Amino acid sequence: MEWMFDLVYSFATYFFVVILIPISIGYFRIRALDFIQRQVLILVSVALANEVLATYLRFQGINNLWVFHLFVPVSFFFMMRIYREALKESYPKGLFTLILILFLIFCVINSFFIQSITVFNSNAISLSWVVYIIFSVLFFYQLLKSPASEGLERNPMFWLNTGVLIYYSSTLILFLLVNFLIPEDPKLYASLLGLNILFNIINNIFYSVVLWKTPQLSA
Amino acid sequence: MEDSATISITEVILIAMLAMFLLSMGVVFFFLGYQKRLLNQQKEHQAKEAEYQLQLMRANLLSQEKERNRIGKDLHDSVGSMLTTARLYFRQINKQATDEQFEGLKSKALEILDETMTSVRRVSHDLKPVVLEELGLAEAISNMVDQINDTGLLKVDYEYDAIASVDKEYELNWFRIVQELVNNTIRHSGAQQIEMQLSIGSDKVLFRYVDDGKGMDNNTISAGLGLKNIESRLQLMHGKMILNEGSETGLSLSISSLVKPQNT
Repeated sequence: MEWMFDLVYSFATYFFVVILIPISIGYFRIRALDFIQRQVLILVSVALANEVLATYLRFQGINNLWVFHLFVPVSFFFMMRIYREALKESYPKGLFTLILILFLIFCVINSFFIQSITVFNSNAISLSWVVYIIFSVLFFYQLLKSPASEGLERNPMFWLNTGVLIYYSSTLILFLLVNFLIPEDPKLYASLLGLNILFNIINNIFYSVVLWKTPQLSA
Repeated sequence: MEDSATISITEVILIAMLAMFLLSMGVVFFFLGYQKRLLNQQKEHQAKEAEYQLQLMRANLLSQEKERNRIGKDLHDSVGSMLTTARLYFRQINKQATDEQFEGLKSKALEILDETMTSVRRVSHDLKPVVLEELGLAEAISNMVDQINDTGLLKVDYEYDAIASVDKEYELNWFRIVQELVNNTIRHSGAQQIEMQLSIGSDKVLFRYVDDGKGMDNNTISAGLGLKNIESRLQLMHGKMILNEGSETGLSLSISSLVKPQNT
């Protein structure tokens, strides 16, 4: 199983390199970014800060899981801002605010009463993943309902949505079962975590495309 | 045993993750395929619409050309020849002519000039019906109906109610539409009777037209230059035409449009 650990650490290293790509593109093109792209830039910046802090704490031998208890609601907040903007033609903005509030309440309850800050917050992660997948499908549905337009590949939201659907669908099962896997076999957990990092790298490539694209002017 | 059980869990999760990955990719490709199909359908629809507009424009131009030819022919055959005749009479009038010859030539020349004036008035009336200008759409149609009934070719029943006046440009379009329908009926349908109802409301004009002729199938309708003209005029007025409303024989249609352009 040693090769799996090596693979995980290789992926982890690549992940740090790959996440720097969308961030670099984003800050380089910051003046040209639209609202959604700016939210994506903040999201990847927060993700990088989260990874750096979690890695630092791990190397210090300190439990770093509380970082994820903070990261999940923060990233959920920005994702809701993105989808509120992207789906504004189909759904009222209040719906997204309501979902955000309910999710934040759930996170607080989860962190205090169900999965303490020293335990991996798989409940909150899984729930947020499900919400992202639903919104991603709803966005595709919205595109299908509206008149088809050429140049879909020029729409940053299309790339973001594709990345969201692929990453969050692929890793949902992993995060649903993660807390059952760790006590069973930490090595198994590490190998599956490697897969998560692989999908995360793919997701960051999509984020890079999102931040690279020049937003279309709305009619 | 424990090791093999662990491997099997790994395999299950790996397969599940892979399945979800493939499923999500499937959703994306389905979306792209569907989007492409929609785009193609949209393009086809736009091409058909452009072709239809082209046909309408062509029908419009042909109709204008036909009308010009008719007016040209009227002027040449009728007014032109009468003026030539009148000129000949005037040339024959000279100082040597007796009083009797002079009076005869003068009365003939005046007669020809009267006929010429009548012809000019008829051409002018065709170009812009005076009654339409003076009495409005409902009365102008009534006048047209009276003229047809006087010929005894067929019987026209006409009812109308008008609570508002129609925009001048729309009025002429409506008059031409009614003329076109009546001409079609007289020329092609073999009908004995026409029923017309006109209702001019505060914001809408509704017209119902029924004849007891042989009717038209949809192909004839789409191919007919006259009906293309009607469609073209209706399009200018944001109007619409519904054909064959519950009629088994003959032509039955309802036409509606706004009373005036929306932006005025």
